[in-house]
Amino acid sequence: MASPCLVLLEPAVEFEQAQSLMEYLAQEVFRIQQKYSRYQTDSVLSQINQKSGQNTAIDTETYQLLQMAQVLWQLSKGRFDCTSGVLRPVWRFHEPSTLPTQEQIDELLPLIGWQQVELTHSMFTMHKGMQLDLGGLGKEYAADRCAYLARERGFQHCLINLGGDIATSGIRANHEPWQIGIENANERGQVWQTVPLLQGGMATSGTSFRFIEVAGKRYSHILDALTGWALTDLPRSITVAAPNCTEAGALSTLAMLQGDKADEFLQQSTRPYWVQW
Amino acid sequence: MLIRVGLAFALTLSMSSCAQPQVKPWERGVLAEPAMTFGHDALKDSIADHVYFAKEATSGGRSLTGGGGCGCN
Amino acid sequence: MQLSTWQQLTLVTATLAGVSSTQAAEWEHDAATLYYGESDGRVQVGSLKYLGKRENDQGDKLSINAGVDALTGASPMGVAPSYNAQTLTSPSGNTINIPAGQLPVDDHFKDARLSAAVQWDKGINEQWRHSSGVTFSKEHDYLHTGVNSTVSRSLNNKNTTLSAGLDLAHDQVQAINGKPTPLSLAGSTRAGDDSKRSTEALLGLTQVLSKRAIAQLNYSYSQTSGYLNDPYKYFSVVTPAGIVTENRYESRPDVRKGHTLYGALKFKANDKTVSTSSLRWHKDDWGTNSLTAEQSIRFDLGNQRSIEPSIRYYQQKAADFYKPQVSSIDSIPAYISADYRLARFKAYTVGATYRWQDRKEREWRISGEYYQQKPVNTELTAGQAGLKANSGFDAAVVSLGVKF
Repeated sequence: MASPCLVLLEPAVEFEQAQSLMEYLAQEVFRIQQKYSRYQTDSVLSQINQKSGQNTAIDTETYQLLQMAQVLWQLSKGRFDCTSGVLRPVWRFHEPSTLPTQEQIDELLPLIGWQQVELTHSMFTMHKGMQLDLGGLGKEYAADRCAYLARERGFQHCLINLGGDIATSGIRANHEPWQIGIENANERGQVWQTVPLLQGGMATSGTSFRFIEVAGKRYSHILDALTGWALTDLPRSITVAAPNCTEAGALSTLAMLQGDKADEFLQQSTRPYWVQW
Repeated sequence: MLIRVGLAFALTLSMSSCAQPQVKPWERGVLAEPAMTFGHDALKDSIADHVYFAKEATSGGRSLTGGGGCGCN
Repeated sequence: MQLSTWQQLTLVTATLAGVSSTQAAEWEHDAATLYYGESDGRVQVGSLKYLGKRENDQGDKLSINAGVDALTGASPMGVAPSYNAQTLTSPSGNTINIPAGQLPVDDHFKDARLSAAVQWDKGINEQWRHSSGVTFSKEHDYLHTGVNSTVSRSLNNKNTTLSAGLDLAHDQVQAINGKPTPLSLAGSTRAGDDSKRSTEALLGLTQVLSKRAIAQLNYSYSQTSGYLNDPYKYFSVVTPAGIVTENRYESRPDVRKGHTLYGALKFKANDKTVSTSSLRWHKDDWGTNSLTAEQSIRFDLGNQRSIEPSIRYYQQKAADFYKPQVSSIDSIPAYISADYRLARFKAYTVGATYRWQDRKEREWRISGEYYQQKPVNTELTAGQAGLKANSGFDAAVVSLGVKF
């Protein structure tokens, strides 16, 4: 998690209390990060990936995350797929970046597809060689968990901001909405619009900062799992508000996948949203 | 004789643990399965232990007796 | 009701956001019913057992155990068989008529037992855990209370776990109509309750041997003291001609110390097969040394179903003070018991457990086992030729359980 994280507490809280809450929440964020990290070989996710081809026992938390991945796969009609992890090595978004070849993609496509997955409350199985990547779900889930834990600890008026993924433990002490500034997709550090959030969560999906530009065409970091290719001609940024950050993040990601149909998609969801082209 | 056999067993086990490469956390998939965990079927085990406790002169060993108290022996 | 995918999304994210509340409050239940029945109209037991486990966010576990057993049927009294009919008064005052040539049994036993236990398992830090609990049981004529505590430390990247535990129990023997004086004649005055204390210390080692094998080795020492007699069991004084002249109450030492060494191995032979083996040696100062060997193999049948056949072999030496009867020409020893459970015997068990999952993802299991106890019989007197003091018995054990 290499983005700034912030916790807003109201009304004024004693320093020790605030510090103790911060430590508690930071621990939870690290826990989730470690559990579902693709980069740490001893994480639960890495274990699942190592065990591809075999039945892997999973706990309730993992089951619920995977269940969500499944719903997102269904909602996106297969274009959002957590089994697209095998594509990671061929799509590099750091300099120097080049596009993968069609042969490379074709080789990997058989290893992608949630239809090849079996999920039950206690067991997960995918074909050998497949790789799970829960990167698209982790941060929003962590934000929601922090909001939940803060509420449990008695902090009813708290806003968590994990690098743009926002979750609140409740409404503000004065019953007014939290004022959230959405960053300008074209000008980093500038507020584009300030929007009110009474409670719940908010998340943003953006394509401004990670892309590969080849022959004037901009390939975003958002991959279509059905084709294996990065999407082009996408909005710069989509922000969605929902009862929790996880749903907000899911909707913003799925909407982004729709490209110019993002607006239609989000209208069907009935959630508040803001799109920047 | 009991002591000698026991010692041999313990020695073998400790030697094998030194010789075996450590199993890393991400390699523990199989070991995490319920069937591979000692005591995963605690209720079934305790039922069996109790039946044998009532009918034989010796009992225990698998875990601390706790709960074996019964007028049946 | 079929949810729209939008509704599903809201539902699944809401569950996730509040996932801790469902986790923390989540209990895992395990309930089972058991039937145990011996041959020849002997003991029958029906039981209901429950185990509930609740794990919190930190991985601490609270377990609650509860059980109810109902017992009925005939139980050998220790009285020697004879070609003459005998009459005895049972502890509850009933007259027991023993037909000639039959194994003397008391079939007036009816008892119900209630048991309960609570155990708390908590991590102390990255390497240390401790687990402590209390146990309790009550029957018409027996009360048990106990406490236990174990600490464990993991080493070698959690490949090795060492543990040390202690269990202390204090039981009250509340025999019906009081306890008899050991060695006194059947029918003599009985009075009072007595107690029994036991201490058990266990040292354990669990070691991962490979990605597919794990072993356990335990050593335990136990010491029991106090009233160790069975207040309802007799021994007979028999003339060389085979006539039972007296029945007296048994007498056991008031201390018992023993050592047990137990080893077990779990090995995943292939994708669908798990083998569990165990061996146990026991030696104690009553002379009832024993050896137990168990082997089971669990076969995965796919679709969350499995079958696990198992076998068990057990052998024990007789207690030093065990005698099927005492000759009238010998003096009565200070310690003597004719309790068949202290005799020298071999026992065999074969069984199988079938597990499956129902539509609501509850895990069911059904077990059937056949147990046979085969004592080594010593010759009685010439006048009892053809009779056996201990005929052994078989039993069927059937159990149905569910985890949800």
